[in-house]
Amino acid sequence: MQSTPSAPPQPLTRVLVIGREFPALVLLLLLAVVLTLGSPAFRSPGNLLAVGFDTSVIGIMACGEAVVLIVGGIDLSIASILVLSAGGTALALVAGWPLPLALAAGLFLGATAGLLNGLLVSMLRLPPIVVTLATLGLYRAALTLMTNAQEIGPLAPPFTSMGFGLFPLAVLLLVTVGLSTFMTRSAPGRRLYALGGNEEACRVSGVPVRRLKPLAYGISGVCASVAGFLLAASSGAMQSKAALGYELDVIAACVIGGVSIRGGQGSIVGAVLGAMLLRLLNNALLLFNIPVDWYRMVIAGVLLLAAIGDRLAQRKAEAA
Amino acid sequence: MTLRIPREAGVIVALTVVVAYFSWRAPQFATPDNLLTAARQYAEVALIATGMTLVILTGGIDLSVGSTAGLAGMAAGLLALRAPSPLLFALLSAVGIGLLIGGLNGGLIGGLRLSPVIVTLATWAGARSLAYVLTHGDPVSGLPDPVIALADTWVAGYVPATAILAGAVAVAASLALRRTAYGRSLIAQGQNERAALFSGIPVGRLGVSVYTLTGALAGLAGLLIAARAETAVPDAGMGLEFEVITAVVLGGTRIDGGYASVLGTILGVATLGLLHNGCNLLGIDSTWQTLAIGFLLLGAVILDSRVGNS
Repeated sequence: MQSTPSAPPQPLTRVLVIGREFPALVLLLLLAVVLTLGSPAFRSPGNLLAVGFDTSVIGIMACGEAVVLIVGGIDLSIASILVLSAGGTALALVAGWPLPLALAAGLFLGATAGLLNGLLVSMLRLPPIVVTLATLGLYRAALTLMTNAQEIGPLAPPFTSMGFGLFPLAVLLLVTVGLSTFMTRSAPGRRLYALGGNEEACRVSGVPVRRLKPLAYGISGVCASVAGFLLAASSGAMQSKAALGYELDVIAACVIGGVSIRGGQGSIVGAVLGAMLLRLLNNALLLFNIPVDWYRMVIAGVLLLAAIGDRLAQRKAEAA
Repeated sequence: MTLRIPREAGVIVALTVVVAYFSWRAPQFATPDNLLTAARQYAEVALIATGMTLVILTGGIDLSVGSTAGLAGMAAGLLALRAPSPLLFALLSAVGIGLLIGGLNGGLIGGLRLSPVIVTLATWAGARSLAYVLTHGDPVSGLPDPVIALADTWVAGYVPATAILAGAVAVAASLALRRTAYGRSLIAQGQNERAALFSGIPVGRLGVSVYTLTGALAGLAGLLIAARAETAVPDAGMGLEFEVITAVVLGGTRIDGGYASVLGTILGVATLGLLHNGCNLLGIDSTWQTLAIGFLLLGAVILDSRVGNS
């Protein structure tokens, strides 16, 4: 049981200067400067918008994952929830549902899938890694069966216009600010931090642990469906093989951005910074003609370095 | 509520149901030929699952096994085509890569006390990435005969040698757990790591050893997968961690450590293997199989949380 006190909410400026998000922020700025100076192709509006889109999808998912990590859990099924909920919305659109209703259906699917994870974890006290490993397979298989493994589409405007221009970045900004405010300024959000810091202490001091934990997973599910809308809108279709392996990018973004895998520490803003850093790294590989096969190797390396750095810093803090 | 029943009861019921159902629906299912084919196909999973049982016993988890198998198969295939003694170099490189990745996992988890999920998620991604980088994603075909023979040797004419190897590894692991100080220490660590540490058990080094062993077994399994397919492909073993962890938990090993049953694990692998085999005989789509295994994993872990140690 982790006994460190939960991180108190801090003003954004102080968090960024001295907080756990600092390494990601410095690396991000450094990489941005190198890319801006070193590659004219990087500065082209088309490239910047493409990076912005990728960052939005991974960043929105990372916001949700961060909430789950903060309560001391993990959600490996996040990419499968994305596919299931965006697939549901796409099916509804193809069937001729009005746009708001189709979006609501997708959000409902995402929230339900997330809540189901959370209920299994909190009500039955099952390990989150195993529950979400199982639902990672289940949710994707569910969409495959619903669609006979066929692509759902083509999708038409106005839905598809959500995937272009600055709209994805606006959604990312909205989710980041909204969720960040919720986590640091609202009572339930602060309780989620406390829960990740010391679950036993929360339980004995009357925090409704069993009701709060599913909330975190539900938020993660909703974030995944929002990211799924953007992905489906930009590709004009959805299929059960989309977003394969995104859970790696998302969890890595969180850890690199300073969200502790042990719970209770880190921030939504950090997770988004981590997502930006990873997508910029991906763009750098592309611009410098390094085969994309290397990308996951790079994520793996950065993820390990972040985890090692966090561990060494923790040891130092314990020794002091 | 705690029930006093053996932790292997669940997997015995599941295996019985699978065998009974497919014997009834598919006439060719319960024939020696078919069962031995299934044993040959799932020997690799059994090898990895035996290692994973020890990892989970210590309270850890290893997500990287499928990627390790994929990378080891590719590297061994490439080397076997170029080296003077294909079999020797294939074996050395496959097991060597497994040892390296497992050692990295073990060093970071056992030595530096990093989270097993994060470390093995990273090696899961890194190893798979390298497997693609080696050939830009192309398969390695035309493996030399001695390598193919690894998975195509039949003892007494009809028992697959790889299944016997997997059985021998499982028996050795089971004996080591019950009869040796090493095994006892692993159990002690899984039950209460602090208590184990204070009673002088080298908890860190034990952690290194189980991940390294599992890596080596995954590397060997990767070579056997390539040998059985007669081709090494970079996406070999994808999703294997899902099957292996399901088999271990289904077999009664406690997911948070402290109790392990290698016999249960082998029965778990047999359940999954026969489930796939039976579904394929009946022409049931692989998506339904994934769905079934997902529910099996959930069911197993729910059972795990409801049944006490006995």
